[in-house]
Amino acid sequence: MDIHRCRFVPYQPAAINAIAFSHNKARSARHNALTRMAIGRSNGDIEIWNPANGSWHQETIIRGGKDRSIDGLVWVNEPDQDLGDGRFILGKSRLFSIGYTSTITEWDLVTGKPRRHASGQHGDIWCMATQRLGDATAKPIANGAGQELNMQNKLVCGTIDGELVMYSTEDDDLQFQRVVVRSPTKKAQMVSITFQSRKVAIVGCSDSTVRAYDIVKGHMLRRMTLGSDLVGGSKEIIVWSVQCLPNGNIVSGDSTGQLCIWDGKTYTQMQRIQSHKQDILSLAVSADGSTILSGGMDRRTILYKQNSGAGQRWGKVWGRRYHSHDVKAMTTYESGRISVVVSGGPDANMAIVPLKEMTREYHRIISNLPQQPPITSAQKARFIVSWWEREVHIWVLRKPAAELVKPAEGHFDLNQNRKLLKTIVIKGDFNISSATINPEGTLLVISTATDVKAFRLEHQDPVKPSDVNITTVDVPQRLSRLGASKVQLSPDSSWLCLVQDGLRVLVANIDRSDDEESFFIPEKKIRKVFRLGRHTPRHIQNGGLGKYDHSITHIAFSPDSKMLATADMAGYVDTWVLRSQNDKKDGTEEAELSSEGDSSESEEESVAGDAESWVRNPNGKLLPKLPSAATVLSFSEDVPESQGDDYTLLGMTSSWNMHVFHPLQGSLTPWSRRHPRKALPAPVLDLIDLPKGVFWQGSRVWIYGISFLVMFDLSQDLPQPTPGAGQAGLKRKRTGKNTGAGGKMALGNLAPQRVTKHLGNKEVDVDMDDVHQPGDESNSDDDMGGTGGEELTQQRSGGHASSAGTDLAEKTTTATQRNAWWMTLKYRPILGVVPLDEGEIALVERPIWDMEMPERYFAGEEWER
Amino acid sequence: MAGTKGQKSSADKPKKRKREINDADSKAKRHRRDVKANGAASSQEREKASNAPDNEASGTLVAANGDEMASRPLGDLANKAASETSWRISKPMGGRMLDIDPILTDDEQYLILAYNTSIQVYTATDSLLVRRIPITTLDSSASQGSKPAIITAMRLSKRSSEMVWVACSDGRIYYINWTRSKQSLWSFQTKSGTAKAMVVLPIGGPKKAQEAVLVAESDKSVRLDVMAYLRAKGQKPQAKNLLSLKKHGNALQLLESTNDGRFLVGALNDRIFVGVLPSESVENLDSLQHEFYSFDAPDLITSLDLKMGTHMPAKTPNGKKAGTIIDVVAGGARGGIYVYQDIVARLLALGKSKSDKELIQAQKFHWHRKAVHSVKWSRDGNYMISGGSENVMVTWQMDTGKREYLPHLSGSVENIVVSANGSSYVVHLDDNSAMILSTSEMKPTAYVSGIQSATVSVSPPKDLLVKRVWTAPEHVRRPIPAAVRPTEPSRLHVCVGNGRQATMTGDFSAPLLQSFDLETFTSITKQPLARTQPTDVNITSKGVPIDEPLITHVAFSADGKWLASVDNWKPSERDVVSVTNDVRDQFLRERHEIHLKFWEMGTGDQPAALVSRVNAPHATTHPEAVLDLAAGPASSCFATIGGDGMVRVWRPRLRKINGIVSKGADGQELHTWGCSQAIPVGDGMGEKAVVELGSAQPQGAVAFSEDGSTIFAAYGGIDTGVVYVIDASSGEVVKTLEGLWSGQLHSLESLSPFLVVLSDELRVYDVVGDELRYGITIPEIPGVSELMQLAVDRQSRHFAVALPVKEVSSIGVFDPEEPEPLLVRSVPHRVVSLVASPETSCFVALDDCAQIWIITEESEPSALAPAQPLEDLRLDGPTTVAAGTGMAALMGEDAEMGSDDEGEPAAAVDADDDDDDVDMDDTYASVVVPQQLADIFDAAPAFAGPSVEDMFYKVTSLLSAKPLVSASE
Repeated sequence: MDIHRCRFVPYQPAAINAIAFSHNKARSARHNALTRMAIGRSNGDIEIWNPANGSWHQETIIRGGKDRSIDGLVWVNEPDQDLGDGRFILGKSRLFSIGYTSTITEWDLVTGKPRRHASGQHGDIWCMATQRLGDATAKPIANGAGQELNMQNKLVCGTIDGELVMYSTEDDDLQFQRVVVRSPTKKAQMVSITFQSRKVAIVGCSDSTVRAYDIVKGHMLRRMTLGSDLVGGSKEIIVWSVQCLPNGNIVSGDSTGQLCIWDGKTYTQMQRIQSHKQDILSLAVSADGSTILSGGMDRRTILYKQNSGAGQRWGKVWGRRYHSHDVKAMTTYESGRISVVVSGGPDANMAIVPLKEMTREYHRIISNLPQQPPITSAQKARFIVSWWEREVHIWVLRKPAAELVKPAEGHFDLNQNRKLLKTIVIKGDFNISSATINPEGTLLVISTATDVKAFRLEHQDPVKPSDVNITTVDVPQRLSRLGASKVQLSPDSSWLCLVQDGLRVLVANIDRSDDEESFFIPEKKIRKVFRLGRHTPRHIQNGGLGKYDHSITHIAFSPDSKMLATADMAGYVDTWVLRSQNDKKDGTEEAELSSEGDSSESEEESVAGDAESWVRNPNGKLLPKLPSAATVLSFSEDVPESQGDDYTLLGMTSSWNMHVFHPLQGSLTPWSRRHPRKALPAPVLDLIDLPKGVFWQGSRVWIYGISFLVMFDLSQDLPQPTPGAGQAGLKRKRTGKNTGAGGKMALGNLAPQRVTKHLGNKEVDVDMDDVHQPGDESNSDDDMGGTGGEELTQQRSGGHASSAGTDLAEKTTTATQRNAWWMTLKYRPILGVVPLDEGEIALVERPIWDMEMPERYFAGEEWER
Repeated sequence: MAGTKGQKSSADKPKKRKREINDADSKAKRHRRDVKANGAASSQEREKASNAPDNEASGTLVAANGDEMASRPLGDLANKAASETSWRISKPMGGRMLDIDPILTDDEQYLILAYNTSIQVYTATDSLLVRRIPITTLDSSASQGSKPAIITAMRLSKRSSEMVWVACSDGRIYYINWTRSKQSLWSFQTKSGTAKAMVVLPIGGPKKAQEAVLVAESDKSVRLDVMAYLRAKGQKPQAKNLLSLKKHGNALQLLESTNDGRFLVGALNDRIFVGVLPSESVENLDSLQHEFYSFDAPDLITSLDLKMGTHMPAKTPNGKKAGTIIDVVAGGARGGIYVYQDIVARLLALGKSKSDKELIQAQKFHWHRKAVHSVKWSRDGNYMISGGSENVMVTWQMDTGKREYLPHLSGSVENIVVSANGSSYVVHLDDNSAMILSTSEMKPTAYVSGIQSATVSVSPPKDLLVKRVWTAPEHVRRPIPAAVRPTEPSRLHVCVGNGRQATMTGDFSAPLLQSFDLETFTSITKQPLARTQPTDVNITSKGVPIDEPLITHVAFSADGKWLASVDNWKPSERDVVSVTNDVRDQFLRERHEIHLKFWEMGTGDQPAALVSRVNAPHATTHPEAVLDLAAGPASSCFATIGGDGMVRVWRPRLRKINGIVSKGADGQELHTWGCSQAIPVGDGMGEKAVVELGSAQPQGAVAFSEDGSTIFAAYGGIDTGVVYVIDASSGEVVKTLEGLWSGQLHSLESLSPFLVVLSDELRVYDVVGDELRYGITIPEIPGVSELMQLAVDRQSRHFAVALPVKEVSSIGVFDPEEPEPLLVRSVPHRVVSLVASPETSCFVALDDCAQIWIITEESEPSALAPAQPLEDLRLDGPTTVAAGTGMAALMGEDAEMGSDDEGEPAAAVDADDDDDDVDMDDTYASVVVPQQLADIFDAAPAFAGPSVEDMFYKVTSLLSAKPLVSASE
């Protein structure tokens, strides 16, 4: 296979401005399953991640738009309701964001669109916090304001004008309620806010103060001043971040790089630690209050712990530079075994840092590249199409790789081979959510949250931009009005499938009647296809994240365009087959009409006059559910020719399960049955990055993730792992469970991994593993959660990249035999891999040094190393 | 300093003899010299005449030995037992402070420092040496080749504050009463015959108080045994093995304990172990059963300390009952400091139930860029104090994370000790000095410094435990320039570097001149002679050390007023790699910086002032090396010989501006130095001689005859050189002498009428008789040529030769007329500097452990002065020690001295206590040099002298900083 290793495709990640977990400390397994992390970026994107026991799966991206940014995110969890007999409705989790305007936005995770906005007569909101949830089992608050207050969450925001405003989120609504406090002077901008108790909000201001407000009575309880900045600094200290410890003490981080700890009862300063050389921008506190983390403009993340000695003083434990730019946002997540801090900043990478096991475990950097590659290709035209924000770039790779490496025509400038043919900037404010192009490169469909656009590209072996003509193709209103989160063209260019509002799958026929040159999408040929009805108990559906689980994330057409498959976040796979009008009758036709959008009911609109229509695959209900959310869904090149033949559908999941189906039969393939997750080769099992995509080469499937490329030959069985084979050198030892970030440190760990007790002349290793409190039983993990640290992986791949033999595969016995699997870690970070031609692919990397970052502010004594 | 200034201004006064007894002898000598000085023109004849009897006396012997003796190796002579008694070599003095925590006694009166082979006790109030207790010191009578064991640990006894435990590398543990100097040492040897670290642990109740000594011992670097020894009356000590530990690596073995000995912490390479004694008190050795835990630290451990605290009774987490908190701090070889909070409780919890386990909490602090040499807790536990090779002492405030620095110390910080009440720190710097700093103001209250000359490292530097781009040299490869000022015969001026940092280039640099008083054994001043940045980190951004200029020669003029020095610097090869090959050599040659500097010596402790600097005193197309420097014996003049084949004579001139003599601030006339004569040697060809010699390094040496009328200059290549006899007044080459040296020329000295030439042979040539008296072949030992040295004592008319034999040195004293040495002794270290003390007939040898050996003639009482044993200084008088803080005792001693009308010059008088608080603002208490006393008491015969009252005030003014304001007290 020939690989074009490309680094020219632009993709500009956006800075992380806010990170929020729906449940920072999950109380039960079900809460844990519900927990999502939202990341707000400077381009207005909100990414929803599922921590899923350390696999960190990016489930959806709610696209932002022009001149928008997310600067604060808050989840509001409604209280759980007990329904008796062991069932209870988990409280709904709602996501709110601010963006340095006076508006708060609530987001609908399923449709990926704003649900409602609210604003009031006040200045720009700079910080936002939600009231602490009162104890649900309720000892009523003494002042008798009552249960109602105790159960409802208010959003409290601090503004640029020094006002403290309250928004109510009652009754699934969002309304401006009142201005709690107005600052007499407008000087004090409210920069950060947190709740000390249900009644008391702590606000960090820009005028060297931390203030405590009683939000019920609406007055200031106390003003804690920080004094003036260090010599040469600005006049006033900005308190960039405040947090509260469980015991009520307050932690603040400010622009002098000092961390202050305040007594929560007397509101007086207890300790002040100079730890950062520049501003502290973010703080995080562990749930048990034993650990504080701070991140700052000096790129450091610093860990503090409380001493057990006199005075219970806090001390800096160590600091690391995980980010290549400011550490702007950070938040903790603890659940069972998992105990991590997630931090982010303008370098757009997400750092997962172990919290409890910091100094003993490696961190993990999760790349800023999206989980679903924003890149596709028109194979026959050798086009590469990439998109980001509101731009689509169409590149051509003119010559096949075989010609390039042939020394025939002397030196060929590699840079001449690629050409940017067109840049399409779409109208409207919204960022592109998905794009697709047909193999001939003649039809391009782009979707945003509000629109779907189609373009016809006319070209004949193009070498320069003027060789391509772009004309707009009309898209019917019914298709475009709601936008689409996902679009997919069938390989024969006659079908367009798109996902509306996250749940609804529409298929449109594309008419190519006019001598194959122009495209026409007739409105009347748009069909909604229905998924299998799957019963979910109402109490689950109404609580938590609602139908979010069922939103469709993947669409795949079979190579002959006669089968369509979708997968959703719960792991359900639906398939449809194309039937001509004649044989339609033998399909199960349960034409039950019911309300739209409810996928629990299956329905088919039958409109007379269709020559062909999509019907649900009769054996579709036999397809097993994927064990977790799908990350890849793809048909192989197999096309059934005779009766017994079947398609091959591959579904990869976020838990690194690899399921290969025969969809017509509704069964797993024999290969897939023989190879459950456990049978995969050890180096593959050790991968912690999730699969992003696949491409096929006969019976071989190539799976790639952000840092790896793995091949499996589905026609061969994988070799049996030979225990204790001489692979110890290459194989990373599983060093046991970790807490959700990297593996245990082999070098440079600050705290010891092992303690030996000496009894006379005997030496006994003291067991340290059960030091951690036993986690929730829910986390009897399914062998998921990667091991091994980023650093270790890098080390290894570094070594391999230089050597010729980069594969970690176990060699099969004879040279003539084909490898059953193969893996390389040579390419990273991979934005996407697209097939170009037979046996030719373009592999697009986006190294971090290619990415533009805002200028860093260098303080004295600091220079890049 | 202020107090002594006036009294020391007598440098130009005629030198007073110290003792009446000497007078006869020295007068004779003076007379002889006077005779010589009288007739400069016909000096040679007169010399011949004056020396004739001597010649006759030994003439036959010389004639008999003549050439036959020439091939006789010196080694044979060394084997011959030196039965003669006329010359003797003193016990070594001084030495190098070791990387062992100094002991400051609990009353903060005495400071005990560990040297290579001895421990020395100083008073903490006035920095004076009280006592030197040799432990393993070998003197010159020891069998050749035996190396003394090195002290590895020193601890104050927990039971008796008068006793110290000292452990040596050969495994001997000594129990010493440091308040007495003469005693029988009680000692025993450890099982393995090694000792790396030691702590003392009190056991037994109050009735039966005993002490166990815990020794970390091992014969391999990967292994460590902690053994406990309990002293048993009259028999071998009981021993018990407490812990055996193995850990791969090649670093340090450390052991520390709390005061009560319940908690131990130690380290082997990068493994830390903690020992806990379960019971509060231990009655005997059997019940001494620590519970040990060990774990890996992130780095090689170079320093350790622990502190004990208690839980706040109110806030005991997890309902634990209040217990002891042990916080351990460990310094790493890569600069990190690791603090393990509450380590014992956490370890014990790990070892026991599974319930309330807490992770071991480690904190990392990083400021030092290289190894942390020492880190200590402050007494209150709120601070850490650390030091390393940055010459900075860092104080870490634990609560706020802030650091405070005490920068620009004169050397790497080696050890820090916090005094018992926390009011002062003892800081040991690696320039062989230690000081006591007050905690509050960070001002020194006491300062102790030995000779800071280059020494070999006893153990590899802590900075080199991890790989560095530099290495520490194993040997001193070059003689260290040193000189004694004729007017101050007790002061040795020696070129020193900036502690260990100076050795990082792989060579010893020595850009500073230390003036060291041999009688009081204190360092007086240290001043730079070449450009240097002694307190900065002299490394490039890549970690490569930056070369400093090298002082190659120093000499005092005969009147002691002037000092001449030659320094030498050339760019490092590393810095010219970018230059193309063909010009690189030229580049290096042209940028070679050679300076000849003339300094006017200040009075008293004033630093010398630079008067003239001559850039490239010898130059052809590029600066040429100055091969030798000699001071004229009569007038203020110096002679140099350079690689260009020129002998230059330098003399001072009055500095004039427009014909008017410039005056200094005090009205004195200013001088400037210039070349008064340039005499080409080397067949008179000057530059051409160099060309003829080709690439071979030119060799040269220059010497004045005793009367200054003649200059002897040796010049040439290997084996080819000639000695030119130059008439000093006319500058003409009177005569050339050939075949006086073979191989490499080391030194040329004149001892009228003889010329002593040290090359691969030692030759004594009679200039007047024009005959070779004798020649002795130096045995061919590898490395012997590096440090071969010659010194001539014109008082006793003897000369001494030092030559290194592997790790030791031989010193031989010769009479120029006798081929048989008068004395041959072996010194257990390599002698790096050998100088003759003018005015007194003795030689001072400095070895590579910074020890001073003094070779004197026994029949020469005047020469004994610098060689006084320290006890004779009467500083360890029983009053001083017994009374401890007693000011009265000190005053009593002062009174005793004051009344000593005999003017015992050997007794140095310490500064009196009254002025301490004034003196503290200066560097250290003033020191009265015996000469100053002699100046007062010997000014005139007793019948003609001033009144007793006057003399009393003079003496007291010496002792007080301010002119007798305190007299009313």
